Amino acid sequence: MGKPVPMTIERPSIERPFEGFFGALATRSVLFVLLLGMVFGWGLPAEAGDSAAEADWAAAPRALVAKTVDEVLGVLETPDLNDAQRRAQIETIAFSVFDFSTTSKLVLARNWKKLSKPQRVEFVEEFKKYLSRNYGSRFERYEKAEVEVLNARVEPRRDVTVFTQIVGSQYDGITMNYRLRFRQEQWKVIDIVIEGVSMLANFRAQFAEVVSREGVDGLLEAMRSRNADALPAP
Amino acid sequence: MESKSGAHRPSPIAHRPSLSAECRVPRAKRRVNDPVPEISAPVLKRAPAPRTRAGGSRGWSGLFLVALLLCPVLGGADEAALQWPDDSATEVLGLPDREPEIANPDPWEKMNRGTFGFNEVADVYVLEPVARFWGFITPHFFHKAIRNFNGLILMPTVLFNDILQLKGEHAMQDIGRILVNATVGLVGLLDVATPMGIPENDAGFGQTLGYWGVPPGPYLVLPFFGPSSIRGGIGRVGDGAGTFYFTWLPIWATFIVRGVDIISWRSDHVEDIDLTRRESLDYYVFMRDAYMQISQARVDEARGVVVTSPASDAELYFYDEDFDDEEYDDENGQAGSDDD
Repeated sequence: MGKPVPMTIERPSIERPFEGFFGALATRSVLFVLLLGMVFGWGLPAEAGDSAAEADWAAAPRALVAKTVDEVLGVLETPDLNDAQRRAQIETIAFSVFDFSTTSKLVLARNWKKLSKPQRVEFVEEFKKYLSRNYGSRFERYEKAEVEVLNARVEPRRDVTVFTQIVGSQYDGITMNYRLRFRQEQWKVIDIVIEGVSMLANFRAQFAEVVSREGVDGLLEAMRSRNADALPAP
Repeated sequence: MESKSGAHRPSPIAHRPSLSAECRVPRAKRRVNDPVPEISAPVLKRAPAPRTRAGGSRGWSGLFLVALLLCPVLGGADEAALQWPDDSATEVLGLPDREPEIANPDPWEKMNRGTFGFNEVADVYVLEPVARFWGFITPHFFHKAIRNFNGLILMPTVLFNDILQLKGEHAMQDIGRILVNATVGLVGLLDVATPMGIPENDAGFGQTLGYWGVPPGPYLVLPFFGPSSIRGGIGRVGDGAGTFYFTWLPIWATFIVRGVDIISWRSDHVEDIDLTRRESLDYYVFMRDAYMQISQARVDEARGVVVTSPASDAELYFYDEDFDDEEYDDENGQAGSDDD
């Protein structure tokens, strides 16, 4: 790096390859690209809307998401609440729409079977607390935002994904998709996919790592001690 | 910035989503009561029942031929078939009845964890303090201006990638953004184009590679640059070369703008990163999984894969008889409502 010699060799070798075709592209880029744009600019036909049966099936979960979002935003915008109260109220709403039992099973995947019955009960409880820690504190930095509830889609085995997008605030434009499953005569959220990242898949990867290193007891212990830690002030 | 990884969506399966998505166009020609074609063994082990899905499909042209060949097999969503199979009949849906074995996404974990640790140290002792200080002395709108300016520098690279991905409409938007923001937007300091309805695209070279079917390869943590994969790393090099080739600023100025943008971005996300770092049970795995999911999602987006394939769907939301664990549910009620 210190020698001047390689520098003089490297310089032209970086610039040379672009002289021919790419050079022409750069100098006349606008025209060239306009042309390319016209060549490739066919409008691919947009898909027709949901079929009627699908729309019917997806209507209820979509409404549930819309209602829940309104409730949560309502709590966030209630002016005379302190952080703890606000959090408690959001927790109540979230706990009522989440299917923690299904989510826990899916998150643990094959490791679920390694848990004894009391351990399962404990895990679901700890997981609930853990989620509340993870997401609850994010609401404390809430800035005015709206959530647009977009379309909904029927997935295999009648799950439904409801697409939403945040408008405004520091999270403007972020997509949050909720996956709901109809179980025991109720629609419940089983996963949240934020900007293409499924929380379920992410937790599963982490928990699997802990289980492979420390076993299921180690995982429960890790969650217990994590949840027992006081949350630092935001 | 990069692209996908099929790592937790094993590769033989990973291509199926796109295919079944491609199928939407030709499929429209099928009649409601056409019989569902028989499936030949090498393609699918089990015959999928016809299903109806919503959502669009774009960018199918690259795989048109393959799609045509496979459509009778994978496609087939008819109104008549919308009598759902009951829950136990996962077989009918072509879902595996057990959680599929997941290929190891990270064969170089030991080395990667080392590099990751190094990056963490560099972040905690250099980038984060600098970013905190930067956030303290600069107002948010200034961060925004830097972001817009850097965005304009990156735009030709994005445009180039949109062309490589045959995205005519996106390419036109990119040109529109360059023309509008470079002039009315005060050489890129303001983003006038977005309020005008010209969205910002973020195509990258890693994504382009993924679009054309290049697999992500193993997960790879790059020193200083962070989570990546083989394909993502090549994508980074490609994007870097593009930026330096297309920039109208001197190289050193381009570097500075980029650096300042990174510091601004970091300072805007101090709390988010703190929280995630502190709360995740394994921050390394968190980052790995998030990276892979995001890059996969970006490639899916480029390919217009809107529909989840039964296989990747089953992998994450799999259904297993044992798994229903009615015993657990009976004893504990439906979780979610069993609290307070």
